[in-house]
Formats: sequence, C-alpha cells, structure tokens
Amino acid sequence: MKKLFAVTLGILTAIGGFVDIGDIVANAAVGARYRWALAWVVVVGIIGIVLFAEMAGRVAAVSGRAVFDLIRERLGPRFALANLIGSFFVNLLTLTAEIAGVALALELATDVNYLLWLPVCALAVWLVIWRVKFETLEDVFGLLGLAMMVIAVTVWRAGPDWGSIFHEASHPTLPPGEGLPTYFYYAIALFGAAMTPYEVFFFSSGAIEEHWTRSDLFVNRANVYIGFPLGGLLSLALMSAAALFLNPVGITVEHLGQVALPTTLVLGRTGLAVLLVGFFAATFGAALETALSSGYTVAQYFGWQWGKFVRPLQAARFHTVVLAAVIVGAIIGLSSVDPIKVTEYSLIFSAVALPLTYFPILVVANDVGYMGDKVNSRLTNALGTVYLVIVVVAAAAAIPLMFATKAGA
Amino acid sequence: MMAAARVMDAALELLDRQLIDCDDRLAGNVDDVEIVIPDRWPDGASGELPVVTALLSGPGVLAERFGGSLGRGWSALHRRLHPDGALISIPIGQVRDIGSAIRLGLRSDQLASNRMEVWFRDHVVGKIPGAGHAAE
Repeated sequence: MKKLFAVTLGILTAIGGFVDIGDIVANAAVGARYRWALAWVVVVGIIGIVLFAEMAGRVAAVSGRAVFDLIRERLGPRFALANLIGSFFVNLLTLTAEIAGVALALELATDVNYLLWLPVCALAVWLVIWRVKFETLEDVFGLLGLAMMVIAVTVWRAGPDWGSIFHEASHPTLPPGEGLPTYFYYAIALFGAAMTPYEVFFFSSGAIEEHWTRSDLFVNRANVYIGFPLGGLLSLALMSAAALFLNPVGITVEHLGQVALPTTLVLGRTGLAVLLVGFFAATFGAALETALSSGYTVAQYFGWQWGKFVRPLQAARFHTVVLAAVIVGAIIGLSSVDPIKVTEYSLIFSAVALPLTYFPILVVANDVGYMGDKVNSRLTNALGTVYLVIVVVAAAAAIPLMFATKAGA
Repeated sequence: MMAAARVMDAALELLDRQLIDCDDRLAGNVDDVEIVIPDRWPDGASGELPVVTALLSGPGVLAERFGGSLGRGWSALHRRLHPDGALISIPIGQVRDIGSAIRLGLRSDQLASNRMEVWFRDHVVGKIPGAGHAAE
C-alpha cells in the first residue's frame, strides 16, 4: 500500500495541472471544434512537463531546493521578481477559477446556484490547507481525482474507430471555415495548460514537504512517469468524448454541464455521478495546489519559512499569503466573472511566464554544486534545450495571437 | 594539516541563496554580501586582500540591490516602516556550511529580518484557532 500511495503527489499534481476547471473545458471545447486536430499538442505538452517535472523533483530531492529558490538564484532578484509577479497573478486567476469550479461541480450535483456554494468552497479549501497533513491531502485528492477516469471509460464504451482517430490525430487538418491563427491560439492554450508553471512549483515544494532525499529519486521518477501521462490521457479522453458526441451535433462547449453530456449518454446516471466526483476532486485538488503555490513562490523568493511540515505558527508569513490568496480568489469569484473565461486567459498568460520558470531549472539540473553526480544526462539536456526553444516561441506568440484572434473567437 | 582552499564565486555561490538557522528553520535569503576592501587596495603595499566579512539579509538590503525607481521607492517604504534602519548583517564567522543553502550557527529569532515574521505570527496567524498544532 505504501508503494501505491508514494505516487499520489504526481497524480495530484498532474490531475490538478492537466484536468483542472480550465483544461476540462478547454479540452472539451477543442475536441468539439477541432476534433483530434490538436491532439498532438497534448502529446508535446506531456513530454515537456515530464521532462521538467523530473528535473525539478530531482533537484529538490538532491539539493533540498524548490523551484522558486532556483529561479531567484539563477535569474537574480529583478527577473525573479518579474516572474514572481507574473506567476502570482496567474496563480490567483487559476485559484479563482478552481474555487468557482468546485462550486460549479456542486451546482451540477445539487441544482443550488454556484455563487452560493462559492464561499463554502473557499472556506473548505482554506481549512484543508490549515488543518490537514500534506500526505493526507495528496492521497485523498490524488486518488479521488482518479474518478475522472470515467471519461476514458466513456470513450472506450462508445467503441470508436481507433484507426480513423489515430489518422485524424496524426494528419491534422483545419475544419472548414477555421483559420490558422485561431488554431495556433488554441495550440498555445493547450500547451500552456500542460506546462503551467504552478505544476513544478507545487511538485518540487511537495517533494520537500515529503522530505525526499537522494534515495527517493526512484519515487520521483515513478511520480512523474505515472502521474503526468495519466493527466495527459485524461485530457485526450475529454477531447475525444467531445469530438465523438458534441462535434457531430454542432455543440460548442462553454460550460461544465456540456462536458458531462457524453458520459451521461453512454454510462447513464451512475457514470454522471462518478464524473461529478471526479470534477469535484480535480478542481478542489487544483485549488489546493494553486493556493499553496501562491505561498510557496512568495516565501521561496524572500527565503521565509514555508510549508506544511512545520506548524502554522512557525510559517506565519507563508500562511498569511495563502489565506490572503484564498480570500481574494473568493472575492473575485463572487463578482460573478465567468470562471471558464478566467482560466482561458490565465492559460495564455502562463505561456508567457514559462521561459522564466523552465530556464533556471535546466541550468541548475546541470550544476554539479547542487547535483553532484545526479546532473542531467546528455539526452535530457538535448530534449530540454529543444523544449526551451518551443517554450520561448509559444511565449512570444501567445499575446499577439490572443489579440489577433480576439481570444480564439 | 590544512584543507585545500575552495575557490568560490561569491555572486554565484552566495548571493540569493537560502539561509538555514541552527534549528533547520528557513531564515531568509542572502540579499547582499559585505566586503571590506583594505586602504589603497589594489596598489597598497600592505598586501592585504578584500575580505567577505558578512552576509546581509532583509527586504531593506534587497531594495538597495534593486536600484532604479523601484529600488528607491521600496527603500523609502522600508525606512518608514523601520526607522531605526536595522539591516541584518550576519558575521561570516556564523556561517557553518556553504552548499545549495547556507547554514548558520545562530537562531533565526536573533535576526532582524525575523521581525516581520513575528508580527504576522502575533497579529494574524496566531489569532486563528489551531495555529500552534501540527496538521492531522
């Protein structure tokens, strides 16, 4: 059992990172609109996040330093502050959307308006962070998040023609009437979703919360190689379910209820119930991840004591930042902004912040002073360099494409 | 027998590193380094070399390093909040180890930059029930 639970950090990070409220809707929206023409982006994203999360986890285990420490040590205080402000802003937007997402999942289950659920959800998120041990939190939400697998079962039971899906995915063509800029806008949003920086902030800080050392490098790899591909698989399943059931009847996905349609059609009420548990766990897990990450990043930038491995009194500034983030997130959410739109924008902004996060990880993973004999292999460095180029291109193109396509309209 | 001297790049291996106190608590970052330069160096006849005498840590120190209008504004704000201008200077003799973090031989509550932590502990986090208990 202990072995099984050892990979829940990776599963929670990946489910929170890949299938949070924004991705659930973005993947389904992309599937309904482009069928499998953007599936390749998910694959490119999985390889990228596996590559960098493994490095970040390895650096944390060997040197005891989490990602935002490295960002400041390698970029210096000015660039690191720019990254901190950008990442904190993205984190806050995502946290807002996740809290609203939990409330939306409860609305689907209870028919009570999500704005009434929202303050309750925000309080629950904060209470879990305040009182529940890190290991418990990651086991419970990591495992509950697996309920999202029902979306893969939906696709499986629908019995699609796998050969033609593979053909569409490997020979992407634009649907009639769609332009290339919009296609690439969605490509960057999906790529940003797969590689959101808070995943590595959370994963590396989580490694330190769990006191990983050199002897846990195997656990690190197991987490990365199981958790993130699983998250990617769920992304593809969401895309496929929408492509199979929503695309033919011309439904464009704008809210969470539409994402649940295929599962209800194929698996009935039981399937829907399981899916709602999955929605709840994934969005709640992502809310925990982003709320904690807002504290992790600020505390690591300034060198404050952080983490749930000490009592809250011993990490007062860290807990103050987390509490403030949850309160502000709840207030923004209550202003009834569209939570789906909030995450779609945050995905694009996070694409801009990517290079400032992944460059320092790659540099430190090669530093003998930190890593001893555990520095990157040549293959890892070659792949890492290729991904840095992709990340820089995506970051440079994100904002212009957002304006050119009126945010994918 | 003397151990072989280790050559260090102060900017790379000291600046912006995490400080850890003698109780394993995270105790701020190295925001700047104090270097004493002997009179008339480098042409002086005394033969003395510049020496790193202390590590500096705290938001006021960081503001000075930032420079520009952001640094000046931040500095001014910091001076208003802490009129005594206390910056924290950790004598190099208190450094026990320099690695991926810098370990100190003193406790973080002896450091001036800890005052903000104490304020938030006493006025915010300490007021919430359960703050003193470990999570379950």
